[in-house]
Amino acid sequence: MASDNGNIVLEVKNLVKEFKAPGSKAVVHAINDVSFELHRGETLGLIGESGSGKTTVGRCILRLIEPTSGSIMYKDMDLMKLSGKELRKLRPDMQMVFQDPSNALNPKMNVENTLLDTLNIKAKLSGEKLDTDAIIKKVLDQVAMEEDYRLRYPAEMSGGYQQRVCIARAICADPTLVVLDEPTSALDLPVCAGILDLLRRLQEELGIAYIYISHDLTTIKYICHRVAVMYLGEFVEVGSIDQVFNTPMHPYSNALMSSVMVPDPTKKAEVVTLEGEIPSPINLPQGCFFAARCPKATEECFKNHPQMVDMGGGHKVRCHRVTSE
Amino acid sequence: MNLLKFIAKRVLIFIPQLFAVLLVTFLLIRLIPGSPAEAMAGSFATDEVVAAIEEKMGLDKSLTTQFVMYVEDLFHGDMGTSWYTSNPVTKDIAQRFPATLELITYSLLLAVIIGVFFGLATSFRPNSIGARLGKGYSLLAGAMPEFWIALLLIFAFYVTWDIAPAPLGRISLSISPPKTITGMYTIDALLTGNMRAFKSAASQLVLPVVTLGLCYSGPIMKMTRTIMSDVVNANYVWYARACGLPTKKVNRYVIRNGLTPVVTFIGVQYGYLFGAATLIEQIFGWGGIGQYAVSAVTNKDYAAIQGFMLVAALFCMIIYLVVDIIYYIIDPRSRA
Repeated sequence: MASDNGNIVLEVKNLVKEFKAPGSKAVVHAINDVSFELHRGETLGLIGESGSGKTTVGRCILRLIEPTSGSIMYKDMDLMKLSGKELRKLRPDMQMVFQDPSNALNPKMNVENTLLDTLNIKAKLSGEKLDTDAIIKKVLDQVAMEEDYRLRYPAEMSGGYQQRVCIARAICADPTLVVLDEPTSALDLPVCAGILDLLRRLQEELGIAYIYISHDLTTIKYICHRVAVMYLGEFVEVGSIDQVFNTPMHPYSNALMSSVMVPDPTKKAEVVTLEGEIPSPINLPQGCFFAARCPKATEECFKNHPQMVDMGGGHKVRCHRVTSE
Repeated sequence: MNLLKFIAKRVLIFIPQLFAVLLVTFLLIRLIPGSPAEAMAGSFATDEVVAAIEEKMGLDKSLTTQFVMYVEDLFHGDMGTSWYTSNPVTKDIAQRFPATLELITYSLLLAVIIGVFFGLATSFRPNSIGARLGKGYSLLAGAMPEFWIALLLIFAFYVTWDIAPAPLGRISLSISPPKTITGMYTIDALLTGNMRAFKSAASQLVLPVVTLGLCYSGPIMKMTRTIMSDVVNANYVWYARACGLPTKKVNRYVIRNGLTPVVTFIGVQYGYLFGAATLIEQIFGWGGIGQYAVSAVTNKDYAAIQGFMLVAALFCMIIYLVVDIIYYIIDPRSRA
């Protein structure tokens, strides 16, 4: 599905986001130099622990948070250079699904009105006429919801159904890109599996590109084609699921992957435990961000910040030790 | 149509609620040690005299008989007679209730205007001047008790600068109150076109209203700010922006979702002010119902206490009903 040539939906280059820490002059470096591309119908997973900047990347791509610098090429337009008006026109095309569905739906709007909001704004911005009633019927069917849910309010539905509404809302505008920000982490396991299957099916049917943000390795493995491992606001390793999960190169990815539980009691797990905490994004380390916790760190790692290097087959890694070997 | 049904249902619930309030008040005040007859007879009275007064007051009968008699009278619109003012309690309350209502309604309005304005400013534009003023203000407003603010205001505006009238009641002593229609002087004066009385009544209101308004806007502001900041960052608001909805519409979502709990809170404050205004009534010689209730309690004036409790309970219930009606109108979920 993911083809290397052409069909690029999104190309992010050197994305940086800095926040001013409230009440002081300190700068929080939320995202440090993130670059990647996303093809049509492909799912890219962003993985990393809390505070690594996954959600901020997702929101910066849609310019919900204004990035500090970098370029975001969507199809052939640079989102960073678009005016507010031009950007608004593109908005329905790039959708978002949030982590907590109960917080992502306006509690005072029923399912129908929620979807109508999105459809009406799309119709208004694009100037085309939409048969909203038929579309609502279709998307509800696509997310496997019965017609009689139309008039329900969020509080009258289970978390799984709320998330289906969020997904229905995202796909009803016929988007090319959907940012999925931990769409399953607030759900029970069986519901979660249902939602993942649904997302996969919709991708096959509609060719949507997903950015899937999560800290849950199993769901990433299940739904993504490629995955990027984030640490302290930057990518430390990018590659296909197979590359990153089976032959992780970065010591951090290595530790992450070893933490996956395997439902096989005969396999003995070799868990790599990491010492310490993720460093403060206010005072970034001078060398490799991971050096202080890295079991393989050398003097060089503390001095120079490593660059992303392609190790072949699109498998990129940011580590002195890997690239010097 | 549905709304009427909703109101009718709620009003029906009033009956058992009021009855419960009645019963509990009736029993509780009789738990206060010492008989009101003793207090009335004075410390040198003989037992016979006390017994005679008790009989006159009807306190020699059993609790059940007393209660039944009281409820029977209530159904005839009679709340009993105050032992201290010697007036029917209905008359006392009819006189004093509008005074308090007028005071706390204006105070609440002021508090809501200040509180909601600063609350919205701090959550929508956290770095604006309005927001900064609001933050400082909420710290100050919560730090001083109302009686202290009242005394400061009186000292500054009456004693020192002499721009406010003396804190002696609801209208200047040299001006006769307007004809009673609602019992609220400013409204009655306007209705009868008595501008002299209106001016005087309004100027008497300024200091107590500012005092209460300042005090009670603090919590309203904090409440508004907390809820609004949550809603501003709710994911559905992020989504609305991500989807390209116009800012105006997004803000409407925020306000509609954020203000509903604030409405409840304001309703609760209204009911609370009814009793909490007592101190201010005392300081400004207001002659309101709070003062009446306090003296009734110290004098063990049973009928007056019961009357006050009944009116207070009814007042709160009506406010909560109004809050629910507002909810009904602004929140489609409650209609289902």
